Amino acid sequence: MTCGEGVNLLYDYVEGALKRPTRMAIERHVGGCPKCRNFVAWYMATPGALREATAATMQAGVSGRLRRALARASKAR
Amino acid sequence: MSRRGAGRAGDAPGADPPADEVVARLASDGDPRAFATLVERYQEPIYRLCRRLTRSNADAEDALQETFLILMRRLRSFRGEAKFATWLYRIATNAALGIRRRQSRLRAESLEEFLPRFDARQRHAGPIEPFEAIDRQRLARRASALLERLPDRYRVPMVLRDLEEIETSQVAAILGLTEAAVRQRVHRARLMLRGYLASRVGAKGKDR
Repeated sequence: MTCGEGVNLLYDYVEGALKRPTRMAIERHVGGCPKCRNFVAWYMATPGALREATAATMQAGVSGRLRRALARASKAR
Repeated sequence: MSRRGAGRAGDAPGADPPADEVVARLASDGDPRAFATLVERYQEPIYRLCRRLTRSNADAEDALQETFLILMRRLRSFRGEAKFATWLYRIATNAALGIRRRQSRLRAESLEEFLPRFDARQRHAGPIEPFEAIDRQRLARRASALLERLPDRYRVPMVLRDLEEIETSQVAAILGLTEAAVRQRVHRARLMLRGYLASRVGAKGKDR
């Protein structure tokens, strides 16, 4: 397996969607390839880091304004 | 994705809360408490999704209101062929993207320079930065702007799959894409963002 082939399979690897021989081939390659080890570590950390960085909670008042908008729309129907 | 928020206010205490599809049917028959339950269950996750898709609190609030107003009008047409949550997320995604397009102030820039490069033998062509702790404060300051740099075709599936943690099959149903297309687009988004984070936001990265 090459670095490029491994990168192409990473999504399915992370999802656990690969058959065992393919998964093992990736792991063998990554075990012997420092660049791919670094690459996989960054690839796997990226979604969680962005999820945390963009987490938003509703600001005060949003829920109340939503309820009022819905009530107005309901009356108008 | 579905049943997220079950058991919150609006559901009967102590009992298993009814499935979204059951509540939606009651709401479409005119039960205002059932509609209020759907709002309680989904206002937070829909707001969060809209915030991630629009990048602005005001736009997210507009998209949130638009989503539930559309829900009110269209609930009778919900036939239960898709999960209720999938149907609602599709409405919300379209509402948020519609608001973004109306604002027309945002233009995606290419992050393709951050895609991995390979040599003729398909080995990594350049150095790959060692994994290090991500500087969370630095990332938090620029994450929304970074996501804006992804074209919608990559950004929207990635937001749904990676940030909202919705299963690939459900993301495909929300966006009307094949699962293969979702996998390909989310993967490409991750590759671009990975490259950006590794070179710009790592603890030792250059803060450019």
